[in-house]
Amino acid sequence: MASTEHDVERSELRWAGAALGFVGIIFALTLFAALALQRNPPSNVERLDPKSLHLTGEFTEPNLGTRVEGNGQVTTRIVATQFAFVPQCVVVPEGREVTLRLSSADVIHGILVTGTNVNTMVVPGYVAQVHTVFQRTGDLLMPCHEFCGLGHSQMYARVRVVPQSEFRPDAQGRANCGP
Amino acid sequence: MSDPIVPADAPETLTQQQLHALRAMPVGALALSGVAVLLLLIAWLLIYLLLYLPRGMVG
Repeated sequence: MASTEHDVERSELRWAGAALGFVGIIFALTLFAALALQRNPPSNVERLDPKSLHLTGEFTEPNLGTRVEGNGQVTTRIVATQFAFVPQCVVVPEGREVTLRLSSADVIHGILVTGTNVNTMVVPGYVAQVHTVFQRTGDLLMPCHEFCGLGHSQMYARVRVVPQSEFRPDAQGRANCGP
Repeated sequence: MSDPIVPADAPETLTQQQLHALRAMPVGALALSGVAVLLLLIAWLLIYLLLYLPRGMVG
């Protein structure tokens, strides 16, 4: 009971201790996730010219979609533009590390893949990159989550997660959703 | 100048009953704020353990 100044101080110290304890718990769990489980906010600073995005470099049309690199790394490249993702559907294998690389040709967009921790902004002039492992198969919705204009609500793509046995890239290492 | 709320002949010191009420008040405030913060922490932990962790690696 706070009947004297000393009691008030003691109660405030106790309250501050509890608050610090809560912050400590949250901080420890975040550190554990980052260091032990490799869960980090996507962080990548890589510049490119949005004006020539479709003409040169990795985001030209033949390079878009999923490709298995020579070292077995699965990379999916997507261009975000008002008001669509190109390609509209990408196929990725389940239980294998996938690198999503996105860039915007016009304004700021953002993506999330439903049911996963994939969530990033796509800023023109930069490459947004997310590494992840998809854990269940199925068609996952990937909407634009950064208001980008009047057609924003119609802007979405699909991520088709297939079992590894059904993930069959062609001779060039490309895989697509098919007809 | 006369105060319209406190009558001029009111006693200057608090009664025992008023003192008791003043002492008891912070206990309720602490309990209320404690429960509110605890509920927030539980909600954060539930989202972390049941949604964030099962959704897999990202980086």
